[in-house]
Amino acid sequence: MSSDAHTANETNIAGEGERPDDERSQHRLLHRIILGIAFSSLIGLVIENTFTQPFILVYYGFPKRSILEVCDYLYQISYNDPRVKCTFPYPLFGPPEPSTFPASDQNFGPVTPPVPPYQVPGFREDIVLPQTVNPAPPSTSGPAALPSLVP
Amino acid sequence: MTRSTTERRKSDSEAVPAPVHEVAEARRIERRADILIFCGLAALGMGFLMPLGCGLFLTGLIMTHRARKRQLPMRPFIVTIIAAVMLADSFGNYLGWGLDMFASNSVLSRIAMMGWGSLVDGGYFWQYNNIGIGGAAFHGEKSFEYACLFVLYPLRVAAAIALFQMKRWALQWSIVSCWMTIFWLVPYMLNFTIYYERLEHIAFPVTGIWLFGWVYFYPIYVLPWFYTVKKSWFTD
Repeated sequence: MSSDAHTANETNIAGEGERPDDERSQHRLLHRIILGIAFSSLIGLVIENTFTQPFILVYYGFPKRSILEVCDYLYQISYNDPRVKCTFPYPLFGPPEPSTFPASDQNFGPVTPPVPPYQVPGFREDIVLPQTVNPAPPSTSGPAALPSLVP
Repeated sequence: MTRSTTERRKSDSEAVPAPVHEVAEARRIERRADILIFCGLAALGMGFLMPLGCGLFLTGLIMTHRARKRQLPMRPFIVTIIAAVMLADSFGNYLGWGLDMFASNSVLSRIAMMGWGSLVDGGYFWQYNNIGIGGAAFHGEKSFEYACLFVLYPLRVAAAIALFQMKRWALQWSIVSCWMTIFWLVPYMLNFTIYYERLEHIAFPVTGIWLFGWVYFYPIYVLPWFYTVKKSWFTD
């Protein structure tokens, strides 16, 4: 009896146990695989959501550094400037935070998409190249001519 | 709901109606477990509330498991799991990205986002908080955040709640949300490919994002289940 109940339990774990026998096995393997994938994804999501933030705090030395020091440290790496501080509390609806930082011209980090190393006129040169090939004629009289963006 | 619930008796191949008191008790247990699972997964997405959320979620899951062991006419296990994974995905991104967009000046949000970015995804690290909206300053990331926060994840949370209640429209909305996920994942991966600087100069450059990101591909695999599931389960 127990083995029968166990078998029924096994077949029902993917919701298949209550089907009539003729259509029971049609999608049974597919549904078991999907259940396995969904369950492992669920476990992965729960583990990620649970342990990511403590791992980050410990990785940046939380028990030794305070939370504000960790925040300062991250900002100093991100903006490559040891003078930067993590402002807290920040005023509500304030400007973007880097506008309050001390002026620096060596912000590190990607700003524009990379330029290929070979010389090919791309979209970046669409404006510059025609201007160098066909420079706008100097204006002789009247109001100053607008710079010609389109050749 | 009552008819489909009584048909959902375990190990009955001919759908014998369950006794009324068992149905009532199963629905009561399901309701309590669903609330626990929902609140637990919501807390799991809220940054530093996650130990509480993990406990609530596991409590709800164990409640449903024990009720199934008692042969109560519970809803199928795979429905609970798929709805839970949809909720976990939605809340994890919904509240995280909401913090990134609207609360990007709080200390915990900055540490969570920039720490995660410095380990896995440089788009959340370099020049964080640099633009007027706040949060990640990377090209393309904000547009995905807006699209997912205001379209995809509300739809998916609603679909998951209705999946808990075995509604028919939950099936249809889940299919819609799965296809929307595929439509979102393709340009997102292209974003990672073209703007590959976001994977440079960080702790775990490419392996990290795959280690974190493989769980978000589940809608592609779950989609066949929605098409082949027995439609008479979803009768409401």
